[in-house]
Amino acid sequence: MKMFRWSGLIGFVVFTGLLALIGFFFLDGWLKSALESAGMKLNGAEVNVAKVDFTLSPLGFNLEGIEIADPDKLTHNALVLSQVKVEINFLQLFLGNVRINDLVVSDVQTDILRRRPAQLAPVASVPVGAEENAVVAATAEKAKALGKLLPSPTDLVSEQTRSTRDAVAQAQSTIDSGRSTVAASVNDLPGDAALRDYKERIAALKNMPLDSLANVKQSQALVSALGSDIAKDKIRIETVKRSMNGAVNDSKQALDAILSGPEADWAQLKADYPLNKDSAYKIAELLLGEAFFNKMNQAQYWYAKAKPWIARLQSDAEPEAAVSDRLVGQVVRFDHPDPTARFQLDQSLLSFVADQRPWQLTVGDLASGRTNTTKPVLIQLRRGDGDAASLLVNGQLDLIDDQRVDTFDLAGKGIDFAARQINMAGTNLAWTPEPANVSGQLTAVDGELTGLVSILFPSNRFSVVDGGQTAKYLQTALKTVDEFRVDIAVSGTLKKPSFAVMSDLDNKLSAALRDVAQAEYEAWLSSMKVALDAEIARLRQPADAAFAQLSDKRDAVEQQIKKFEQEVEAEIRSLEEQLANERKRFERAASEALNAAKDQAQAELDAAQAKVQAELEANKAKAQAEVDAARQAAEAEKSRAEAAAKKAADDKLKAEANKLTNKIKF
Amino acid sequence: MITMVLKLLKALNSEIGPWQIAFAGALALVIGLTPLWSVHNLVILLLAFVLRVHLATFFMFWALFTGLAYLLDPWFHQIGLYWLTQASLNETWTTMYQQDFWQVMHFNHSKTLGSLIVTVLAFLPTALLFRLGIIRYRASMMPWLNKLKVMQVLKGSRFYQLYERVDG
Repeated sequence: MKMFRWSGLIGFVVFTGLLALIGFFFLDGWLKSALESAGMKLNGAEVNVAKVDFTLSPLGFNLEGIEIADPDKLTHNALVLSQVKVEINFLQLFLGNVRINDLVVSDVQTDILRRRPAQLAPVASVPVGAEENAVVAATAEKAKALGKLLPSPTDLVSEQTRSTRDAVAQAQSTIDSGRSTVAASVNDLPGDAALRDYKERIAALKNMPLDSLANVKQSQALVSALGSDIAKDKIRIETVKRSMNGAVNDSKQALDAILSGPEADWAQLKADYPLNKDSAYKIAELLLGEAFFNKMNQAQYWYAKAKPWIARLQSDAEPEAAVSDRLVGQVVRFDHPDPTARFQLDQSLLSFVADQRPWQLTVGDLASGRTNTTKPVLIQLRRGDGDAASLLVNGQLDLIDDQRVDTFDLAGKGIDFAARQINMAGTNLAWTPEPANVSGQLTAVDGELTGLVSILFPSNRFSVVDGGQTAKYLQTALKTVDEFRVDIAVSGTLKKPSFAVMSDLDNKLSAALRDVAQAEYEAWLSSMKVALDAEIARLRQPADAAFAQLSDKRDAVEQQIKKFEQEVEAEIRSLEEQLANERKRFERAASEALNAAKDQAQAELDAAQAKVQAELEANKAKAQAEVDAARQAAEAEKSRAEAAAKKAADDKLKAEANKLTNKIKF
Repeated sequence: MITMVLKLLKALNSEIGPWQIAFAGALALVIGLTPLWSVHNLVILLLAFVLRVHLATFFMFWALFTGLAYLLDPWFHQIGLYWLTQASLNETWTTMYQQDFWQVMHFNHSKTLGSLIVTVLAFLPTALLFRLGIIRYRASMMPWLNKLKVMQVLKGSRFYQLYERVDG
């Protein structure tokens, strides 16, 4: 019996051969179509791949001519990759892991014109980064604010006297109100008729006879009634005086408030048009601002593109097991120095040309589902060739104590910054920096960014393009600024970083500006002050005039009150005094008469009392004698009655005794 | 399935060598009892096709042993887990774990390891038992079965004759 079934062996070989042939002839096409289709879906616009080669040794792919269209600008490619070589670990594919041993991406170019406009994917994605960058807007606002520096005083004087105008309007209103109050109060004062009436009543009182107390009392009653009427008028006068003084005081305060208006305007003017450290600092922000934030916009755009892939990398969940009724079993894992993740990229190299210089981005040990024991991801961005690298960024993405700790070290020399033109203080300024040196370190712990990047500009040229208010002294000041340093403090999160730009340019520029521009600034302030004072004086004039009128009116009213007091009150006081004297005289005479009558009555009273006393004594003695006589008679009667009673009792007793004796005898 | 049963019956009743049927059954034992999507089953399939074993018997017993595996899986899992967690073998397993080839073989999967060990150990005894059974069957059972009226009716049926004609 033959042991082998040759037909089976041949069939196996043929089947395997067919698989290989299909792979050889068709797999490349299938991969190309799959890449273009999936890429278009992800990118939102056409993705083209010129050529795909599937290689067996090493197992992998060789892709050429990859063009990724820009969905926001279909005439251009967002990315063009000349060649992509991927080397894959074959056996790990059977374990469900994708492990790329080596990835080389050569000659990456951005924003390249396409041969023909690209097609959009059926469902276009929302362009990321199209929204206005708030930071850029803020920078533009700052530039606009700086452009306001030191305009003409004539142009400004109307704008910068707002507080004074408000204070003048307020004072005018208060003074008008005070004038109305004073005018109304004058009507309440006693007039000439009242004065005449008072005079007549006083004359009548003077003519009244004062020869008796009754007449005096009648005159006093009339004077009292007159005084009561005058008191009522005085109360009205006091009320008028109080309201008048209140109105004048309010008007005075309103006038004083006008004085604080110019002070506020002056302070506001200095705040709006400062020449200090802050304004110089803003200049540093402007120098870096636009280019810096443009780069940030680009980075955010590509971060948004890569976000879905990063999310997949971070999630390393086990694929769901196929539905089966059989027992699944258990996979036992052992120690491994280099365990393969679901996705792993051992080594990759991306090279491209930018700024007319070669760039290389190296990424190593990139793995999904990182743990504390996983090797950190190493990233290196190099600008320039070999040891002559002008910029080197070394990054390490690690997981320490379950915290994602990403660190980036930056070192660069001779970094070109493009010449740029900025508008500062209404002046177009051209800045041409020499190549700068960059250094710094950024750290992100669980997405929270901290770090500082320093850019040293060793040599700079500033020139003023056209004229402006500050052109002359700005030009002079900037000539003295040569080397300066810009520090960018990074904070916030990876998704939303924030930057604080600090620079010693502010010190240098402000020092230079302080010397050069101080005189100009003082002159401007001086002329501004003169213009402001003139404007304030003009604005105050109506209020001052109104207040003067109010003061005159008050004086007139006070004069009227004084006259009233002199003519009426003095007469009344004199009359009252005269009446009081007369009354006192009469009262004194009455008092003396009363005392004499009192003395006579007292003498008569004493005599009567003595007579009554003597009679009382006599009557008392007579009564005593009568009482003694009566007592003696009573006592005699008593004795007689007692003797009679005793005799009667003895008789009775004898009679009884006789009766008894008789009875006994019987 | 009926076709395969008929083919098995025909093979049993024919002059086909007992080893051919026995090894077909033994190979089916391995592929049937171990998890299907294991790399070693590719080798079993290749052997089944390249070696001159009876394929109908192989496929029929494959189905039969797959059904049986549902009952034996917990036992295979226990065996595999016992071996994988033996401290004395830990070094060996760890060494094997470093190589992608062995990871692809799923050696560290409890059920795969347990079922493979059992089936490999049972391979030769199963083949010998199959062979012995076939020889005994042909010597004693086959003549008696052929005399049974049911078998004669079955062989005389149009379906069987049609099958004989198509199968050659």
